[in-house]
Amino acid sequence: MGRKGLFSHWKANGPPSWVYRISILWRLPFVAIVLFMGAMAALVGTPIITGMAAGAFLIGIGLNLVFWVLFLPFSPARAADAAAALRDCFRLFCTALFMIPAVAAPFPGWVLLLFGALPDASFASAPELTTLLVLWGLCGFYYGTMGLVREWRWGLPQLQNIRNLPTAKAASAALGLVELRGTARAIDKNPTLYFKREFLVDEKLDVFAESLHPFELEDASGRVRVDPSGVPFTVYFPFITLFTSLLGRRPFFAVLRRRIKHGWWPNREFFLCDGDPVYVLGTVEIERDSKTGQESRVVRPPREARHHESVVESLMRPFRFRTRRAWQDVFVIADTEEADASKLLARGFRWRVFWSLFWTIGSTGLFTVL
Amino acid sequence: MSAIVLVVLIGGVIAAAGFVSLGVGVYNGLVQVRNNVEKAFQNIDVLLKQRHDELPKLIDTCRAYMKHEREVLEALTRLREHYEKSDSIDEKIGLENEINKKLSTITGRWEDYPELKASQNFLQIQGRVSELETKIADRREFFNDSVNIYNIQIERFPDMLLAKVLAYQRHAFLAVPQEDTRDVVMQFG
Repeated sequence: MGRKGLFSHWKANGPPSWVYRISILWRLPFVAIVLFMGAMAALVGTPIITGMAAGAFLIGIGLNLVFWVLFLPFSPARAADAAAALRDCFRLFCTALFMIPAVAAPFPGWVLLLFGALPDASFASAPELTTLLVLWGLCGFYYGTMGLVREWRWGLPQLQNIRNLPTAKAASAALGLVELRGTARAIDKNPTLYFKREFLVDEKLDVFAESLHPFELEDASGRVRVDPSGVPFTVYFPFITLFTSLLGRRPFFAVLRRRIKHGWWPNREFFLCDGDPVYVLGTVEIERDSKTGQESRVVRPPREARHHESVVESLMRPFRFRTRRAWQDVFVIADTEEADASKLLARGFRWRVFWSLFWTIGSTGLFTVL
Repeated sequence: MSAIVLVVLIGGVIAAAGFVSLGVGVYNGLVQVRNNVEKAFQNIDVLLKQRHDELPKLIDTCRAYMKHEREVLEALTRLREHYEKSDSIDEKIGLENEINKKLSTITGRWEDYPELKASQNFLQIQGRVSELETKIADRREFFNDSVNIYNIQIERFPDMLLAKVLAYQRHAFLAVPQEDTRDVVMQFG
């Protein structure tokens, strides 16, 4: 396929997923290193290194924008709307100018806090550099503070909901947020409700994942349907949630402790099958069958969460205080007891609070140049 | 102001914000468990009121046959009236537990009155009450679970500090009716 054919193919179908992965994975470490070098150069006082770091930073910003400009017009919804695509590019440019320094801010900040600046540091003779470093610190401070606000408004209430809600019976669960415990039962003939497989094949990570299928939760009182379709799930690992938090995500968690490991990480399989014990925290709604008119209760994620998020919305998440989803919404599926799920979620919460504090306090180190 | 002082000041502000947010989190948790108890009671109160609406008919039917249980039937009538006038959850729980005890006494003595058991009217009312009892049983368990979580929360550190200031008191549990705890008599052969 020639270059023209490749671009036409991407325009019709979107770029392949490995391109997206590369576009995300190389940026943050590269730019963090560049900014760290720049900070050390500014502190130590060698203009050449400072200049090289600044140049590399600008190249990094430019490459980011090239990726985004290439991809955005290819998303089918935006293909016909060039003005919206340009507007998205501008918003992303502003976000990149803010987010990249914000992510790198604590590294030089902690160096300054712990060891202090050298006597002949560059910023001592350049007030503009002092202003830049303080602005840099403010970016990181805001970024870390947003992380703390997210955990206070979302992470802590999520844990409180799990601990404070009493367990309802499937047959008599009231409308609204409920906690249920029972056995998962498949609705159709397929006994596999969820399956995810991660294997290293020829030194490349191969991931296969199915969506979480609707199922029935059965306990001693009866059954109720659980329908998690329409929202993306993350298989929960306490440390991994740190990275989702850095990107401003508030994912819905599938806490699956029953997994099969094949040798070393990351070769493993996660699954939820018919007959597995299950714990669900979700919202009970009334659903009316359009043909028979019969009403039944179904447990779902919150209504506002069931919408598709565009690439631009997802990249701007870390800096948005107002969100489309309510802060209090929660939906958890676990194949463990409530106490085990609560302990795991609490561990992730503590990780995220710790690293948000790392970002916030570290960034204040850049204020010591004043 | 030196930079170190500025950083220490910012650190102090972050620590103070942390304490305030911890306090707000504790307060919100207490409010949540209190409202959960109230919500759970409102959900069961709906069914209890339906059962109490059946009680006058049941009492009138039983009064015609169970002449020796007059005192228990009158106590049941008084308790029901008192329940309808009551506003507080704890008072209602206490009254409901008493109503359950009296009802258990009455149902335990039905066997002694074969004319009563043969009455169609009685059988209809008893059927409706039994149906409500099954629904009440599920919600009673849910309510008691809510009360258990609430009672633990207000006695656990550091929530107990704020709970004492806000005068949060323990809630009573809804007792299980005595006939549900009675041993089942097995008959073989």
